[in-house]
Amino acid sequence: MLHSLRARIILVVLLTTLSAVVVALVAMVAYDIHIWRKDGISEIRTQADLLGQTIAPALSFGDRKSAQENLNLLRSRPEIRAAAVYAADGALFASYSQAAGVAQVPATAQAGPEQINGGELLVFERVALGPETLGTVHLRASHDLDSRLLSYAGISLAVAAFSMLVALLFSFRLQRIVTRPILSISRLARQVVQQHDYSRRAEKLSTDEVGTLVDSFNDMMAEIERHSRENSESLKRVAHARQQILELNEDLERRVDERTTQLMQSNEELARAIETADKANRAKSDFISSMSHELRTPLNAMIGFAQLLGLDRSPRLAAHQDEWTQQIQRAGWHLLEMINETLDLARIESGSVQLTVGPLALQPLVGACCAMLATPAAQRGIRIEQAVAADAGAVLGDALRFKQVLTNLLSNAVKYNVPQGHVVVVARRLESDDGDVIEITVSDTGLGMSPEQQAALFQPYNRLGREKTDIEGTGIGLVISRRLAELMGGTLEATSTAGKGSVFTLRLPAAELEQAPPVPFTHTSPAPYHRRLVHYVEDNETNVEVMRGIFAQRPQIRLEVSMLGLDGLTAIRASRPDLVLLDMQLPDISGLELLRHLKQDDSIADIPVVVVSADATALQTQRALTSGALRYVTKPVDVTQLLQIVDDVLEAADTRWS
Amino acid sequence: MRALALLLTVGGLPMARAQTDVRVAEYRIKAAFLFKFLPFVEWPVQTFERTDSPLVVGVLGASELADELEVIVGSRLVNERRVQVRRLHKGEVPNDLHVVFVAVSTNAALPLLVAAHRGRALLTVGEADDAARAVSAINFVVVDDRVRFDIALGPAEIGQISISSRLLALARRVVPSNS
Repeated sequence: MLHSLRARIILVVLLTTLSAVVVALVAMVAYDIHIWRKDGISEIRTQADLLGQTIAPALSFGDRKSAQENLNLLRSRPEIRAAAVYAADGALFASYSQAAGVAQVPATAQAGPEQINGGELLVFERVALGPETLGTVHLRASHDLDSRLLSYAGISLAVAAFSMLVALLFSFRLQRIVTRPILSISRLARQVVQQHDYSRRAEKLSTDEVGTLVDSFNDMMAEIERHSRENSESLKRVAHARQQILELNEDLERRVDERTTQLMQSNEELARAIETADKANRAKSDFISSMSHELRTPLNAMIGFAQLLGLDRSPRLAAHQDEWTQQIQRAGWHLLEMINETLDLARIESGSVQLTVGPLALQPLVGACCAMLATPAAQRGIRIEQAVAADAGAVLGDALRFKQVLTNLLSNAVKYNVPQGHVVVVARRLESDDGDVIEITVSDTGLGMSPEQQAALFQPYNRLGREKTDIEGTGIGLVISRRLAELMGGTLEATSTAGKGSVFTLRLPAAELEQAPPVPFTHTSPAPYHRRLVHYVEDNETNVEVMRGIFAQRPQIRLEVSMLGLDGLTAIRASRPDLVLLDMQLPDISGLELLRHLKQDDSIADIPVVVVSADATALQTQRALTSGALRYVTKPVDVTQLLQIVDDVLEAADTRWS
Repeated sequence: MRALALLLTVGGLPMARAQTDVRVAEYRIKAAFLFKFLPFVEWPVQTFERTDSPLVVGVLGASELADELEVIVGSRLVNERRVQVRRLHKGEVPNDLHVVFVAVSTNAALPLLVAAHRGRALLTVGEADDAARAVSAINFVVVDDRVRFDIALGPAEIGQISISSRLLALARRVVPSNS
């Protein structure tokens, strides 16, 4: 490119010069040849004329010698090859030759225009003096076109060479003037491309088109620089933003790691805490379970033997003694109730209560609870009324605990009512955005409560001053009820007016009636039966003694007793009793384990098992029932209830075997 | 021209003829020469009364020459003028001549003629042997039997005429002017 541009300019200049020189030379040579020929002819003619003038007197006087001398003067003219003078009659008068024998002249005069022949110009000129023709002068001059052309060629070559040399020098300067700015721009552009330095500018050396080019180039560079700067700035911004994102990412990752670590630590701590809490809970549950068992066993003996005393007919106790046993029994049952409630509250507080929440048909439950309190209410002339609305068909809750709460409320309403008072149970549906609620109110016409009493109503062991009355109570029933209501997703509140009565409101989530399971059918009608074998597995001799006393009421039943679980299993396999009564706490294996052994042995799996346990916890009850126990009876044993159960089971067995 | 060639041819002949013949032949050549001199000589314009005034040539002492000259002149023009030949008698001194030829025998009349033409241009032609002392501008001489002529510039100046250098080139001698 660099060479090309320079070379082209030089070439153009040289070609232009050459063509101009050639044209000029050709024209000049042509013109010069024309002039040369014309001048040559003219000159020779003039020469001939002059010669004629000069030689005219010699001709006129016939002076050959003079004529010859005149002709000889032509030696000073080397271009004249030969000359001759002819007399008037055409005869040769005198002749001249440049060199001997070089050129011949015609013997006689000739006339006519000049002739060019073989590089020589031949001229015949008349010599006249006045009107007279004296003769003719002939000149023969060299007129060598070839040699002239040759010399012209030489000159032309020299001129052309010189012109080209000058043109070359000029063109070098010229191309420098023209190409230097362009090459400088080119070089600059290449450097810009290589170095990416857009701040450079081309130097403006002239104000012509190249100057305009430089201006345009500089404008373009400015534009590129601006774009480049903007580009690099935006790239910087992008890089900066990316850096920030990376930093944020790192920070985020670090924080995530920290949080993950913290989370793992807290998870571990939580796991440890859960483990600790579980241990504590298990310990508490074990303690409660143990307490329950340990407290119930002596109570079982007290209440059992008191009942046996009351049942003893030989000899029958005196009337006042019978009253005393009754007192023992009442105190025993009250103590049992207190123990149960205390343990229940402890279980609720420790969170170890397990609820089986499901839809419960309201009408049968309310009816059952009312029925349970029918006897004490009737004793005091109190009327219980119930009204379950049609749209309040079912609640969501645990059947056992719902019964416990409602029974507690009804029990209080009867207990703290005035004689001949009223208890009203109303169930209705309340619509709410968070799901419909069933509201069950228990109203009484009792003593009512002062605001102070209401404020302390749901505090444990606070009997609101009624401990001074003869009404029995533990002071924790309402607390348990409220906790249970809350555990079932509901509330329990109380409003009261002193002297007029109280209203307790239980609210539980509504359920659909169709989903409520049918209330299990219970049969209570006993029937006479004969000769049954009952096997009792129990390690505590006092309890065995109580049980023997109870079964003394049914002489047709023979009672076998095993003190160890494995002994009991062997005995039961051997004797196949009609009923097995099973204690849960045995020295060798647990009652549950024994129960499972019994139910897994096909030969004895059909023998009914009734658990008689001091462990009153719902969990244990549940386990026993799911493991195959028919009923679960808690100690202290209610003799009447136990006998009822035994009667039911044995009567069914009799029917089966008959 | 034919006459000249004849004269030249005659002039080239050896002089073995009779003296008369020789004299006639010589004058015939000299007549031809005399006529041929005329175009190479210039007279002042005022010498002629009119533009077509004839050129008057006077001949003294050489009738042969005059005869021949009359033949030569005929009706030919010299410088666009007719040439008039006038035969001069002995003792006649005219003053309106342009050219005068004085034979050797009448040489003494020449100064009179010159004097008569004082203030008027006159070409004097003579036959003086000694050109250095001659009073005529052109003097015929015979050298090696050939007619030649000398030119003396002093008498030419006196005669108030100018002689062409081309004629001078043909002269045997040219005597420069004393002045």
